[in-house]
Amino acid sequence: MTGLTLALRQVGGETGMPLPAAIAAARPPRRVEYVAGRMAAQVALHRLTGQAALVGMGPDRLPVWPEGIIGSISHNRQNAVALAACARRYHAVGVDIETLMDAVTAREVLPVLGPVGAEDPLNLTLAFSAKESLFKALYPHVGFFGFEDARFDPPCALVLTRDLSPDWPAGRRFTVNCRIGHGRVLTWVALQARNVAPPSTYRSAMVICPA
Amino acid sequence: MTETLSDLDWLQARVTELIEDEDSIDPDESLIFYGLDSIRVMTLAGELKERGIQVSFEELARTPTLNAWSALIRERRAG
Repeated sequence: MTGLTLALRQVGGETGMPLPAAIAAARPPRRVEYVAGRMAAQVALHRLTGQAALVGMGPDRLPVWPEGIIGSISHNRQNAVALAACARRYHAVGVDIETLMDAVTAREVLPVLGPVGAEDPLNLTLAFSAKESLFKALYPHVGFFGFEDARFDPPCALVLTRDLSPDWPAGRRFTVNCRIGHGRVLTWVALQARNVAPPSTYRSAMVICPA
Repeated sequence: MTETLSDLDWLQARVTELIEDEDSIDPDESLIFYGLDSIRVMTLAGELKERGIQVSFEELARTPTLNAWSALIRERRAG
């Protein structure tokens, strides 16, 4: 996909990366997850733009991307993944990584996920992760919405069950990209820019992405 | 009332267990920040339901702090 890159990093080990005070004070597992997430973001950014840049942390704890870039970061206990995209081509992106659920967890999440088709742990993890990715992509545009507001449509799509905004009405279908393997599920949602206004939290100036 | 109190004690103990942390938890800090991921939040919603407390995953995820969750549980127990 042009204008979009993904990067995966293993969680573990500290680096000399400067940390925000809140992270420096956090317990070690949280610090290494943060570092892995930010390193993945740097790799994704470098692949996208050919330039080195840091991804900071805003007061709301969300990542702060360079101008003209939107992105998303996720991690489980083992890996961090980051997605970076040119804001001119994409107006909403979300990525999620989940450890494959065990049978017990899968049974617990089933009632909340709603209809998902096959009820095996892999399909449930996929449905869960897909909904997380969509939430992360749309949250900056529409605010909070729930798991029940999108129905999982196998093999890997989501359909809105209510109007989230004039841009995203009930019935709108989203293709969710996925990679499965190594005991994990990775999903991402990337919506190409059309005539949707950018969210106020993103800056619109284009300085990095090539035309 | 004693029931509510034990629910809150249980919540604190369970959350501490889920985030695998021995340090005290700031009750107003996001538990996501402590490393509590969404699958675990969902698991917790299921466990609360087993204790007879109807709290949805979305309600927990909206404000993931110990104080907000305690208030939710008190509200459900009172209702």
